[in-house]
Amino acid sequence: MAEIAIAASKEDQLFRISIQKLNGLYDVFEDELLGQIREMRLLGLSDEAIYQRILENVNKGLDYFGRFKGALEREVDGIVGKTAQLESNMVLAEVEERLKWELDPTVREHCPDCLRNSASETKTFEEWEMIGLPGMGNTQCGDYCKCSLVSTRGMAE
Amino acid sequence: MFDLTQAFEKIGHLFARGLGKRVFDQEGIDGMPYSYVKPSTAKSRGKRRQRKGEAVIRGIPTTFGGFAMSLKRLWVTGRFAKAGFNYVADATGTTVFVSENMHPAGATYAEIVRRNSRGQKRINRGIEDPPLVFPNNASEVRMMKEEMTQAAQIIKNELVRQIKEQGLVVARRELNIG
Repeated sequence: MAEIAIAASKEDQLFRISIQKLNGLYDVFEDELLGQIREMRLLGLSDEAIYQRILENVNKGLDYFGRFKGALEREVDGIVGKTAQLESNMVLAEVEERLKWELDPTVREHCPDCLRNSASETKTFEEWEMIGLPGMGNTQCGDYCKCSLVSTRGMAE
Repeated sequence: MFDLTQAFEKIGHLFARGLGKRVFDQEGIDGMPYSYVKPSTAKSRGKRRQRKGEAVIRGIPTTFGGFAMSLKRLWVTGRFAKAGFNYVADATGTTVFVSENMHPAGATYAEIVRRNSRGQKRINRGIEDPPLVFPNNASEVRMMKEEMTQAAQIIKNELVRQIKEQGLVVARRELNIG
């Protein structure tokens, strides 16, 4: 399915919001649609009747289109969640410097693990990997974790 | 194939406008109001404006263009809101950035943000509690919740529209319907 990613660079003063694996999504969609058409043919429906049913499904968001639309919407809703966090981790994996565990400022209560990690000293990406990266389920808040690792480069000493 | 260029155009505009509006409103992307400039800064601004014959009370200008401006940050003139941030969109995403154009005061918008925004490498250490003008990482981008929510909606709407449109094209092709 599609992936929404956010990457930011404070050095260049930019951030990018992108959607990836979109063509994979389209391929799945087309394959499943063709599969539906084949099934309806096997059931003895005429091509015209099949088209009318697809048209109805498209217009009313029923059946396959409805399910696909629902799955798509759930997927895209990840824009404010997990995908951004994982993307952030992946970007930092390439960075050879010490990283700080940062609590998400929009979260009101943090679990003890996240509080402990944020209070601990900076670590390399590999060291954080051993402890468990944010959002990977190693903290008490599990999948709800919204913390992130941030580069310490350029931070006020 | 999906083409989300138009959707990402809208999203880029949304974020650039949102960043500019926050500067204009003197509110960081974390929702925190900007701290005021130091009295010494305000006073020197007042002297400059006094020379130009603008309204001044005890060395501090009260209004400019109808807005109380004297204690604000980033030389707010409304220009920042309009021209400080920009974006480039393509079929797979949008990149939002601080403009390298010159602010009329003699520095680029990028340089002004570099000196004033929390977490930036060249931040002016004299600023107490610097505002978060521009995000430094993905987590801070997510703080722009209103824009994030709208962006998700724009992408959803556009993907659903294209799925409907292209689904019918595929069906017509497969079923040989003109």
